[in-house]
Amino acid sequence: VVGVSQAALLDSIRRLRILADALPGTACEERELDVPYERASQFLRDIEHNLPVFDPFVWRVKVLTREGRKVRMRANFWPFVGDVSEGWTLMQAAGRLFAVGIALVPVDGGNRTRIAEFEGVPRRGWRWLRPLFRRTVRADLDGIERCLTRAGPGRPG
Amino acid sequence: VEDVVRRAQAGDVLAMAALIEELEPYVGGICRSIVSGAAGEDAMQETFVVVLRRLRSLRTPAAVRGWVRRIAVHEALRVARRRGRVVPEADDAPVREIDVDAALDVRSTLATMTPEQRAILVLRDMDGLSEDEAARVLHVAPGTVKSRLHRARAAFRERWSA
Repeated sequence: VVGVSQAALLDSIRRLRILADALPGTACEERELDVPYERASQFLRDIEHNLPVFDPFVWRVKVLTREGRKVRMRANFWPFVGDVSEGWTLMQAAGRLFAVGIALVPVDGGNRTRIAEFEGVPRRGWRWLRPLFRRTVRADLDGIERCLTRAGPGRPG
Repeated sequence: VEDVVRRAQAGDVLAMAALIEELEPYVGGICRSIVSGAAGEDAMQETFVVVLRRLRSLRTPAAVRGWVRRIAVHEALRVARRRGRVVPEADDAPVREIDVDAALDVRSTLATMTPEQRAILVLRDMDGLSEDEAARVLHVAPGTVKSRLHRARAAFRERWSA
C-alpha cells in the first residue's frame, strides 16, 4: 500500500484555531461576512492603513520591510514581525509578548467571506486573559465588518 | 525543520505556524488514510493542537516526524471512535460492496476498511514501521499488530480484487 499519502491542507481558519487552542492565553473568534472574499482580502492586505481603522488599540502602523511573506512593522511604538500571504496574516510582537492573526476563507464561490481573528499572549500562565482577548477580538471583527459593509475598503467615510 | 521546531519550542508563534505548514501534507496523509472527509480535517486539527501543546517535551527535534506520526495516528483513531465509525474487528468481517471502477483506486479501497485496519496499513506498509514500532504507536502488543496486519492485508486484497 505504498503511495497512498495525499497532500492534504487545512484552510487558514483551521490553522488559526490550532494556535488558539494550543495557546491558552489567546482567543479566536470567527464569523461570516456578507462581503466578497476579494474585497475582504484586499482590505486586510493593506494593514498599514486599515489596521488603525478597525483596531481601537492601534493608532499608527508603519511597515518597515517586506520580503516575500515576511513583514516587519511597527504598531504604535511596538515592533512586530509577521507572515502575510493570501488570506493569512500572523504578527508577533518583539519579545513574543503578544500575537495577532487574521485568516480569511472564501464562501459561496467567493461571494461571501469567513473571517477569523486570533489574539493574545502566547506564553504560559496567561489563560486568565482569554476572556479579555475574546472581547477585543470581537471588537476588531465588529470594526472590520463595519468598514467592509458600510464604507468599503479603507477608512470609513 | 529542526530549526523551526526549536524556535516553536521557545514559544515563537510564527515558527509554530510554519511547523504546521511544513507538516501538513505528512499529517494529512496519515489522518486521511485513517478517517475520511471532514473527520480527516478534524483529526489533522486535533493532531496539531496536541503537537503544539506537547512540543516542549520533544527532546530530539530531528525526530519530529516520528513523534508527530504517533500523535496523528492516535488522534485519527480517537476522532474515528468519537464518530462511531470504528466497527469491531472480526476475522469474518463482511466485505462492503464497492464500485468496481472505484476499487482501482487505492484510496477508495482503503476508505471501505475500518480506521483500525487503515492505521495498521499506514504504519506498516506506507511508513515502513516494524511490528514493535507500530505496536508502540497503537499501544497494543506486537502479536496484535501481526494479526491485525494479516487481517487488514487480506481485507485490502479482497476489496482490491472485487
